[in-house]
Amino acid sequence: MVHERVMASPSPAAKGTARQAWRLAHETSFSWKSVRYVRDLFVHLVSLELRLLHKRSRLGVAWTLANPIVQLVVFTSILGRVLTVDVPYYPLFLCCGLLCWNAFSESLTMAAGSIANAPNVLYQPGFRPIMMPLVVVTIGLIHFVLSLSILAVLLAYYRVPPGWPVIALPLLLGIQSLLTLALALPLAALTVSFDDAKHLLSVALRFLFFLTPIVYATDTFPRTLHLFYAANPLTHLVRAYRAIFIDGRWPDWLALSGVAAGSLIALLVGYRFFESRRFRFIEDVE
Amino acid sequence: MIPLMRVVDLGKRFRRYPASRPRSLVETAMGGWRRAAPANFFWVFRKVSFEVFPGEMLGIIGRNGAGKSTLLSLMAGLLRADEGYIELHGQISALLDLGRSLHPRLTGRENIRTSGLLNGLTSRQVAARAEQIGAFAGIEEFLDAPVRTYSSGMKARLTFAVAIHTDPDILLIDEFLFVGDQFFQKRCIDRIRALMQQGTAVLLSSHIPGTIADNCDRALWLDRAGLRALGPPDEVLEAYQAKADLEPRVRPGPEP
Repeated sequence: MVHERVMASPSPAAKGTARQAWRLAHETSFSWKSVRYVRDLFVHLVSLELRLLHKRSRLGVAWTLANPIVQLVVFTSILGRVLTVDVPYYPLFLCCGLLCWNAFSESLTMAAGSIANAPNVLYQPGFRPIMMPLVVVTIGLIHFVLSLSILAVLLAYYRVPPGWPVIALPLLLGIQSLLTLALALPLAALTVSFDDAKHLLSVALRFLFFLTPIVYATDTFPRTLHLFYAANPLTHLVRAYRAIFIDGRWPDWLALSGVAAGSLIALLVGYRFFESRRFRFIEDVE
Repeated sequence: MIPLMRVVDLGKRFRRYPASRPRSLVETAMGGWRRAAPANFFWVFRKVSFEVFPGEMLGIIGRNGAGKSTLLSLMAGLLRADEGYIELHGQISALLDLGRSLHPRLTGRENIRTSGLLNGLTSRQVAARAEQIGAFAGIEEFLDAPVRTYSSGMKARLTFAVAIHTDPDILLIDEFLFVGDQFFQKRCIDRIRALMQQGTAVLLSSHIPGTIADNCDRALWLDRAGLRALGPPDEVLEAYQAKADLEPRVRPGPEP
C-alpha cells in the first residue's frame, strides 16, 4: 500500500520539472499580444455560449426573465397573501433575493457542466480549460444584470426612489462573482471525473435556497439562529442588495468584506484544485 | 540552427484503474480515496529526447500502442509529462483527432473562428480567412450550417484546413495526413510544403513506413523502450522493419 502511495504522486522534483516544462511550452510570458489573444478568445466564447443558450433567437434573452417573473408571482401570492409574511414591500424584498439567488445557482449549474459539455476545446493545443468556467460565470453575471430590469420596474411601480447607495451595485456584483467563481472552479473539475457531482449540486442548491433568507426575513428569529445565518455568505449578499435598492442605505461593509476575503481564499484554493486536475480532463471526459 | 522545439528526457505513464473504481463522489467518499487510487501505472515511453528544426518534416514511426499519439499530445500540451520536459519556441497547431476539436452545434464558420482564435490568430485575421478556409476544405456552401450536419469527410477536411491556415511554427499531424480524396491530399501536401518553405516544422506520426519515406526529412522510431532510432528515413525504416518482423506484439505489462 505504501509503495502504491509513493507511486501515486511523483517525487516533488519530478513534479517541478513537468510543471515547468508545460509553462515553457504554453504559458508564454506576458505581452500585449497575449492579452489581446486571451481577450479575443474570451469575448468569442462568451458570445458563442450565449448564442447556444438562446438558440440563436433575439427573443431568447427574454426567456431568462420568464423564470424569475414566475417565481415572483408564485411566492408573492403564496407567501405574501396566504401566509402573510410581515415584510414591508414584500415583492421588492423577494425580488432582490430571488434575482441574486438565481444568478448564483444558474452560474454554478452551468459551471458544473462547463468542461464536461465542451470537450472539443480540450483538444485544442494551448487552450486553458479554466476559461470555460470563467465564461459561464460571466454569462451568469450578464443574465443577472439583465434580470435587474425586473427589479427596476418593480421599484418604479412602488415608487421607491433610488438613493446614492445604488452606486455600490458593481461592487456587490464583483463580490458575488468572486464567490460564484470560487465554487465554480472545483465544481467544473469534479463533474468531469464524477458522474454524480451534478446531482449532488442540485440537491445542495435546493437546501441552500431555503437556508438563505430569500423568501423570508430573519428579523424575528432567535439570536442563536442569527449566527447560523451569518455563516452563509449569500445571506450577506442578499441583505446588501436589499439595503441599497429598497432601504436606500449603505450595505454592511464589515460583513461584505468578510465575504470578499473568504471568497478570495476559496478562489485560490479552487484555482489550485482545478489546475491540479486539468490534465486529467482529457482522460476522464466522456 | 536554433531548434523550434527541444524534447528532453520525456517520459509519460498512464494510470490503470481497478474495475471496481468508484465513478461517483458518493462512492468515493464512502469507500475512502484509497479505492479511487490507480491500481498500477505503466510507462508508455521514457527518456525520449530529440530536437525539431525549422522547415523540416520529422516522421514518427512505431507500432500501435508505441506512444506516437501520446508523444504528440504531450507536445500539444494536452497531457502533462511525468518526467522530462519540452521546450517550445513558437505557435503550435495540431491535428490529433480529426473532428474532435469541432463543436457539433456550432456552424462551420463559428468553429473556424474558435479554432483560429485558439491557434493565436486575431479576430480580424480569422474573419479574413474564413472564406479561404471554407474553400480549401470544399465546404463553402455549408459554412453556415451546423457541423453536426457535416459528413465525417467534411469534418476532417475542415479541421485540416483550419490547422494549415493558422500559420503555425510547428504542425503536429497524427496519422491523418491522408484524409479526403487525392485532389484534397494534393492540395494539403502543397500547402504543407509551402508552410515548410516559410520555416514551419512538421511532425508526422504514422505506422505506415511508406508515408514516412515519401514525405519526411528525418525519422524517429518510437517503441516501448523509448526512442529506438533517429536519423535519415531510409535507415530508420530499415531498422524498424527488420525488427518489427521479428517481434511479437505485446501489450504493455503493469509496473510492479
